[in-house]
Amino acid sequence: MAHSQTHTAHAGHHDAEHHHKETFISKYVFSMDHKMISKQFLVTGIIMGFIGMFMSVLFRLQLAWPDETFPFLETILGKWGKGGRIDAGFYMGLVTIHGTIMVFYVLTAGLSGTFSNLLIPLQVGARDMASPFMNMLSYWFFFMSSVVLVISVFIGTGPASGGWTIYPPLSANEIFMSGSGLGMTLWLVAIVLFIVSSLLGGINYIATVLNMRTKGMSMNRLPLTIWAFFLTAVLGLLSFPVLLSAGLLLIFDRSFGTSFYLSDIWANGLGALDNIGGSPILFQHLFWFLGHPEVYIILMPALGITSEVIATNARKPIFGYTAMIISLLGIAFLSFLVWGHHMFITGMNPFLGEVFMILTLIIAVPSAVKTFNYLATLWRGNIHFTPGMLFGIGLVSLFITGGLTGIWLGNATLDINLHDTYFVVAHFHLVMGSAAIFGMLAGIYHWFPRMYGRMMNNTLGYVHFWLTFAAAYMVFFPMHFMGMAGVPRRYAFFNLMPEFAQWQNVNEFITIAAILASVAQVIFLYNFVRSIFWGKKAEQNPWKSNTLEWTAPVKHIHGNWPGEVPTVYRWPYDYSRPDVEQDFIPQNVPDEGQLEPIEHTEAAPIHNANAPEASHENTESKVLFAVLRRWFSFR
Amino acid sequence: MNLRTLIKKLTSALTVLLAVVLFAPSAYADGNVETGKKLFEENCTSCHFFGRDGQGPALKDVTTRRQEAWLKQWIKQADKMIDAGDPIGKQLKEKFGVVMTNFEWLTDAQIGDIIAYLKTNPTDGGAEPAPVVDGGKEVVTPDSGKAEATSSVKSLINFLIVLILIAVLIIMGAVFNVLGLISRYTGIPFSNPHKINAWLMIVFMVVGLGATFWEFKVHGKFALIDNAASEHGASVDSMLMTTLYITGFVFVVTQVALFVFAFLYRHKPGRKALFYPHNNMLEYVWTIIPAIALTVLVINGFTKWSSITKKAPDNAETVEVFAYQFGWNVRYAGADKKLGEFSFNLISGTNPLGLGVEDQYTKLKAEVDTNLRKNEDLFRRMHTIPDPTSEEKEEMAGLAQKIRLQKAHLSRLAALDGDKKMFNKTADDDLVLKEIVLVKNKPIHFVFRARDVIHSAYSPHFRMQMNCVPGMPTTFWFTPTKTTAEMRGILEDPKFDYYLYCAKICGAAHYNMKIKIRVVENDAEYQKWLAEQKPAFAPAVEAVPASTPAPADTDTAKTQVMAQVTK
Repeated sequence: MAHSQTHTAHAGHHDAEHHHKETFISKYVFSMDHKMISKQFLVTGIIMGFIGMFMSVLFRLQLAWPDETFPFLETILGKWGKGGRIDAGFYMGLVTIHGTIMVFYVLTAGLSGTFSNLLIPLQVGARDMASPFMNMLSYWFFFMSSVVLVISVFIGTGPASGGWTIYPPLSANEIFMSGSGLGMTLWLVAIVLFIVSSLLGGINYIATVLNMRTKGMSMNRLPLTIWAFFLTAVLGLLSFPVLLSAGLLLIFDRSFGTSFYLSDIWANGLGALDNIGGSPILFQHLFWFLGHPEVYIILMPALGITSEVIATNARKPIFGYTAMIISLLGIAFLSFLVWGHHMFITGMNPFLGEVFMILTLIIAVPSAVKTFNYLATLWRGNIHFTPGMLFGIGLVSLFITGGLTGIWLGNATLDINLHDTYFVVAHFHLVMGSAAIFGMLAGIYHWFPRMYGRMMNNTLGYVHFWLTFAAAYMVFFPMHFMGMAGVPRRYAFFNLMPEFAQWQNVNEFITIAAILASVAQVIFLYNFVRSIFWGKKAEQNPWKSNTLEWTAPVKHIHGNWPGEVPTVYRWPYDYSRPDVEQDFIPQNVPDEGQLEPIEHTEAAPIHNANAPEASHENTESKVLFAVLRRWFSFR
Repeated sequence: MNLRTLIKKLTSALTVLLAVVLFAPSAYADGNVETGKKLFEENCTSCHFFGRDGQGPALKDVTTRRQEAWLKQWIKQADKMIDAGDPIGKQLKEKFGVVMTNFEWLTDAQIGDIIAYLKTNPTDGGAEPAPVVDGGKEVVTPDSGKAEATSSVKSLINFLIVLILIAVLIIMGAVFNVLGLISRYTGIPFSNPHKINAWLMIVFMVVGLGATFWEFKVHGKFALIDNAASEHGASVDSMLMTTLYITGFVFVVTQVALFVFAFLYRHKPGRKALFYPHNNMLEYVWTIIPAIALTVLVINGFTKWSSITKKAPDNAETVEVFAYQFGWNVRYAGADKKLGEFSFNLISGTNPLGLGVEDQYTKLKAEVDTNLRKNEDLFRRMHTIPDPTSEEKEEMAGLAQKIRLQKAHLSRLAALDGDKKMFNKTADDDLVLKEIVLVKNKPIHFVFRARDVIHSAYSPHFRMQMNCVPGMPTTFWFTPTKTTAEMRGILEDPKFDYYLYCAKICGAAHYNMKIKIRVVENDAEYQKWLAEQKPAFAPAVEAVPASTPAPADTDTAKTQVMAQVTK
């Protein structure tokens, strides 16, 4: 079997491992070890996250006190903050770069990059990624991309300022706004590098999950984290190339005089342009064909992490393991069919709007199933409130709040009045912004001991959670009402609009809450950095978890396990089984008398009135996995 | 110098001084300040403030900084002045990155009004009326100083709140630290995190739900969920209420379940979780119930969306709304009740919407032709400069681009020559306006166009939004049901007005791109208003001297170039 050959080959490699010397550069900089690469992604992601957060505080100041001057703004922003006020064009730049950083650099690379890299090899029982070299390239492309994007903020004409969705014609010619000049070029370069990074990573994740699982780790024994990372990588692989093509065509339009997106334009200062026959709507179709799956690329890893964290800390098997996988598959599939709900009012054919409305509301069903399954997992659990668990519960709450407003916006009739208002801002910041950040933070608190061999401070973690949780709602909940009152988003000043004057105090409240949220993140940063060096030493399995990563030694070694890679005998959610004294059974523990890793754990009969069947196996899951096995030729 | 001449000089000086003192205020009066203010608000406020820079420079004291003749020409043809090498114009372009729109459709008298308004030293202030010149004396807006003081006190308070929050955090940290130390030395755990966090969950739920209901009470009243001012708006509102009830119910139930479960099943010594991996019946139940609820919403939304987007009724009046960076123009049909043809190729300073008016076309073609020749000539001569500086190289690249565009433009214009369909005279009497007036209970069919980038026409009270896409006219029709006056009564806000906002990011001054919509009671009122409006291409407008760049400036630019060439 191909699998066991790989296994031996890796074991052999591991023995030879002690012979080659590791230098500082090969260990910390150009490392090919997935654990180090995941740390690199995490640290870069956190730095980018703080940059994005800082930008949001800057423009929130403007929105809250539009008549005030803040002399420090001139100090840090120079000509963009003249007289202590943010220049209206630079405000747009801040909004754009904040969005780009948060969506791509923090929640795509920072989240997927960190946890897919850390957990895929460790949880499936592999020595490393399928291609460690490509994995290293993936990080360095991401790093270059981050550098280019950050540089673009400091150039004379300002960063890209047309919103993170960079709709042409606004983004196609610097005549329309100064940020659409060099700033936009750098943005496009950064995104092309980013897509390369994302594809290199994604191919690796898929290959590793499909080919490098340890003995006994069948697809129906994969932790839900791995299922989520796997499907995320598939989504990225199918959708990012479309953004790449959209970006390339935009580059052609900008620099080589083509007219893919441009037609019938008269520009102030240039006159009638000679671009004829293109359509700006084409760009939107291409952009949102990535853009919508992108939302799930962000969210699914967070949901996967939460599934694992909640099951472990509620000391209960995740409820409806198969249903969770089916709903992930459903979300992944449907996410490719709903992009048009971002475009109801672009003037596209109203019939298309109807189709996209139906498909969009269908996607709410698997999302609802996931929520109910989380609730059922908590029900009659034995909840250990670790900081990771708190963030997991916070994610469920934010996912509910933000998800429900998706039903409003997915409805074309309601979208007429809510489109491009603060309602949209509230919706996506809750459901994919805050919820995904909470998933990421849950993951950081939960796997910090695995990454750094030390524990983070719990008390600071609690303070961090409660401040962040409260602030997230304080910032985004009032925005629903602003949106319902018809306040458009992306307005740099509201003081010239007396009809919106009643929102002045709300804007101030939101800004104060945003500052509070930022302060809470500083507490996190302090805790994070301090714990790396001076945290309490971690035990082997601090959360008493079932998954394989906790069987690897605390001290990182190349190849993950010193001897054989453990064999898997059961699914990852054997928590609190009534027939066993201990409330968890790691995946590598065989049942009594069990010598071979068998496909299905049905050995021990369980006498429990509430559990209709003995384990998570049932007819549905058997059918599902039979189909999947066919498709992917699983063992 | 004898005494006589001295006295003579003194008296003449005095006379001049007196004349200045006595007649200076009346110099303001060469334009109508009120009209100027209105024109200024319609055309200029999206890019200009008085006290600070916006998309364009701050206009405080602009009438003393710049000469009136300069201002007049600049407002009309900023780009031509820059092309002709105007030093101030170049500086401005350098500084702001963009060129000011050519307001060629404004008459000299109208520009005079605007300048007269500028001379009154108005200030920014949204709703507050700008100070008005009253018999030569400036009336200072009352309370402006006080308002400033209170707002700075307010911001001080806000910063104090932030400071206090930070202080509370630090104190909390210190207390936790001390408690931690005590428990470390005594060996007694000072707290049970499971208990504390479980209780915090309950507190959070209660406070959170309370705040939610409070917000519905306080801010919910601003939400546009009733009083729609259009026929379809009422059905949008009922859809919204249905959705609000369904999602609101789910919201409360699931959030309460989440926090209560977290509280009830917190870890206690001796507790063991229930091993309960799945229940297919439950899965079916919570797949099917949301599916049913969503089906109800989909069918509801589907029918409403189709009825909103169906074809406009025959009695609907078609009005064109034209979006540009950063403002709106509106086009009403003239006496022939028909909107004429248009093409972006025909857009010019005097024809901002690019309407198919033949003499406008002829004039534009001649103008483009002249400019092209001039640019080619300049380019040819600049080409002979032996060692061009990087600045000159840039200028030549810009010229080359302009020449390319103008050539292409000219060939497209030539193709329109004698186009019977384009120049069928229907556009000649169209009205190009800065205000939208609708009639109550009469369907209105908007056609949206954009000049440069994507804009979005958003008027929340009518529940209307539609993107304006260059090259792709879009439409939206509806029937207004409440006049502006009625809405003022309903909202108890005498200052209320319907507005059309731009909701799609369109550039730096996106936040200030709006136009008033007025709904009148009946057709008679509307016809009366319509009769007062002047057609865009009435002889009065055409009497304005044709837009030729100031020859003097061009000459200086040429001599400069020649000087460089000979050097």
